[in-house]
Amino acid sequence: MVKIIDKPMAINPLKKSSLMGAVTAFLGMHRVMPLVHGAQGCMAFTKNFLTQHYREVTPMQSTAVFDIATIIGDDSNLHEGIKNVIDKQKPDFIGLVTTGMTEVRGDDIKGSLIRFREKYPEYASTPVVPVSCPDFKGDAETGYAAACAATLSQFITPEVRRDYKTRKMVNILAGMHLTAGDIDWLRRVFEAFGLDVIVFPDLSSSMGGQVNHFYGLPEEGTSADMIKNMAHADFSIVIGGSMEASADILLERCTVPYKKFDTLTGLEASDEFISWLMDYTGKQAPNWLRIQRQRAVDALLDGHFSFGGKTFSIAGEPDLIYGLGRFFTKELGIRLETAVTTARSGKFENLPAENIIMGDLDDLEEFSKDSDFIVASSNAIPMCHRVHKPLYKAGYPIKDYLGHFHRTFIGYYGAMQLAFDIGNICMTLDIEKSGH
Amino acid sequence: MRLAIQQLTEEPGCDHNQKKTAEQKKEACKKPTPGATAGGCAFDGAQIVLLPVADVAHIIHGPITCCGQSYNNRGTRTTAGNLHQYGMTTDMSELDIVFGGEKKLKASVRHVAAKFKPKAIFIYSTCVTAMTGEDIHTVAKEMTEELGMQVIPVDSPGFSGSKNLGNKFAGNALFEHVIGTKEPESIPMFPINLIGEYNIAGELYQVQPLFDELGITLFSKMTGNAAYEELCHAHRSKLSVVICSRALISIARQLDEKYGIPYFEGSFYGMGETKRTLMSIAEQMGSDLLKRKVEELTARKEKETYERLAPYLPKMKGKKVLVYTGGVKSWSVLKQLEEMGMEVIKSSTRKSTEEDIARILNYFEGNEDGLMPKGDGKTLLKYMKEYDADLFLAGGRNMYNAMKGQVPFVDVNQERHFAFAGYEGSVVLAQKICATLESPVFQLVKKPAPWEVSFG
Repeated sequence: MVKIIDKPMAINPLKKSSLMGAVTAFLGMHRVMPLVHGAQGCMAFTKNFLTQHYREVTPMQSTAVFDIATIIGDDSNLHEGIKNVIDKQKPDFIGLVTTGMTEVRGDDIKGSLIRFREKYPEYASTPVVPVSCPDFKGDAETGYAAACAATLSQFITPEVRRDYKTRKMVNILAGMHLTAGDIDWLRRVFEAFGLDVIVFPDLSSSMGGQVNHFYGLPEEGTSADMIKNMAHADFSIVIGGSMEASADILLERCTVPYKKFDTLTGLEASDEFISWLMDYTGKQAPNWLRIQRQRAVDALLDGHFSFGGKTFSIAGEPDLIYGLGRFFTKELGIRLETAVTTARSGKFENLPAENIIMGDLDDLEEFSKDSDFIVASSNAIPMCHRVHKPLYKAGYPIKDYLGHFHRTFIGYYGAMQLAFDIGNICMTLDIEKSGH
Repeated sequence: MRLAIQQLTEEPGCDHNQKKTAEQKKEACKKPTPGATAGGCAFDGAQIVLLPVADVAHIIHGPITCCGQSYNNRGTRTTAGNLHQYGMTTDMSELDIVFGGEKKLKASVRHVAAKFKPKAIFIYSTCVTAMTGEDIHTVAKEMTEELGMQVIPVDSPGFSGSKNLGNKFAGNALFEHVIGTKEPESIPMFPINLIGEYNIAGELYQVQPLFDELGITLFSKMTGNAAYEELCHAHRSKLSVVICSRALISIARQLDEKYGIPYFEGSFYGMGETKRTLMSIAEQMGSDLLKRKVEELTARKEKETYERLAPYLPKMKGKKVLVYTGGVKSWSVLKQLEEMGMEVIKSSTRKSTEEDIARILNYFEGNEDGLMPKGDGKTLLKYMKEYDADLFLAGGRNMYNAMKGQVPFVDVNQERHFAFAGYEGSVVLAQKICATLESPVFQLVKKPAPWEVSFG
């Protein structure tokens, strides 16, 4: 049962707006400029937020809607913004992200884009993908998923021709909760089963630190050509429920079938995934994967002495807390006191939490009195200081901490890593409790 | 509110406005270019000024972006409370927008008043709530009566302008609703207002001991480490010292006009500036005793500081720096670096007043090549290379640009954890500069990978 706390406001919001999610998705695409249509702050706050999270250059721009005249609504800011971005940066395409402000005034974005095309035919070669992101609706995960779906809607047409391929190709529709470490692991697994993959979007390559020079547009990531090629993949896998709409577009327009994995975190989820891969390819799992599983099993055994009897609470977007919450409760045997989340989209019926709350970090503080540790983003640091509880960092943003984006939370390797991390927190608590 | 915005953009205290024609004044502070802009909005600016007041609650009336992506993100330090760590917002939903959010705002004010028992509550309007015509002034008035606690409206829709204009909105809210609303129990000998200092990374803590030793009381600090009560007393100070020149000059001017409190611009970046600022205070106070004390204190501190700087100075001597920061720092940091024997090759003029620019020019002995307008990461890195600069000094936004260019970097903006003010700050800055200049990392990363080395 999802509980709503009777409170008129948000205190220490957990929710990030859909525009932040949409911008994040576009950062995972090659030479795409996210252009936020709104006042400067919407972009500036988001840029600051994502720069601290990824510790990378995060290209994005704003139409800088300014003053009453533009608010009452002509196209000039939007058109000038698009023109300037194309003139200065020459992106492969523009991800046009609206904001609460432009949605409230009822901007007709599609209409405005049509007028732009009529007025400025010289800019015709740069596609613009509009995504509606009113920040009074949805959360970062829905914005991320909407940007992915909007991009596919624009580039995937039923007519694309199927190339001759020697190997099967799979689309990985990567949810917002995945890290570079997660995506690396997936690539290695698919490679081992003889499959080519297109990861969409691919933040691991654009925001993972492998670009060693200055860039004005995201580099690496999924390119427009790769996106078009997704139409002739043999299969799609969806990681995280929020990405299902993208898979549906590929299914409906190009008959690419898909399988959805709500999570790949934990031993069982990993087993299910590898079983599917073995069935799909008819191949055996490689030796390194078997070793990773054995190590995960060993880590669970080593850690279990301190997992039992512990309680935790977690806060985050639905896909994130579903995966971690399920692993910690069902496989590690830690009691879940409270899960706080930002949208109703998750598979919460499978999450054995005592409280599931649509709320904020203030609710987490209120409803985690029995918890031994907290799992949340760095915004929970002040709260954890107040209640003297350890924080295991997960979600957005992770600031003041290096390397989070390169940790692995999925698959056998992720299960091992998480068992160690959580085991260390629990063991430290045990040692402290016993008085050293 | 439209009127208030117009007045603030024509701020006569802004010296760059005094020289403008009536037509230019209407242009407001510089308009951003769509598709080629980097700065924050007016709401951001308002929050920067007021959020350091940590014994009052700050409720942002708007949808989630304004608070959800911005809270818990400034390096301000305080001993007055912990409410600056809280993000509070009405988190407007679609229904709230359709049916109006004033009821929700009132309920939020009641909730926060009961839960946190703050000294006062600031309520901020944002783009969406300003557009839908939410009347935060009436809400504030009604709630002040209902709760017997000051509820203060801050008009700060992001679309109304830049961060700088938002600073002025905040100053306006303080002047209209806070300053002069209470009388202090007693007034010390040398009470001053410190305006535009936000105690980033604890910079105020570095200069506070100097004031203590001189017997000067920071009577009203706006707003680093400020308690609400002291803001109410600002009208009883004898002098205002404005630290971040462009941001809050309006408050200083209004204090002068209404209460006859004179003001001047000061800075604590560098020993020379620190001394100049302290000496100006002593002069304005008209106390010879205070002047002598400033002479003694600054001479002693300079001697101590040069001793502490001794191991670092040879390493910094003649090294070339590119400075990209705003406002008061764009010139005062130059002097601080000069004191350490470094050579600034260029400094930015964004967010700088005419007077700031004149000071930068003065540093470069009139050579306009030293001035650098707004530049993106690519341009800045180009300058670094062109001038063979050794160090890049800028805000956090440029930190990763610098790392992509693999150049030594020191962060001088609001999210940093190191304080660079006063005498102590000069030592810390020297340590940070040397640490990055001497880091083996920069040599190592330039080493080619094995596959980039050609054999034979």
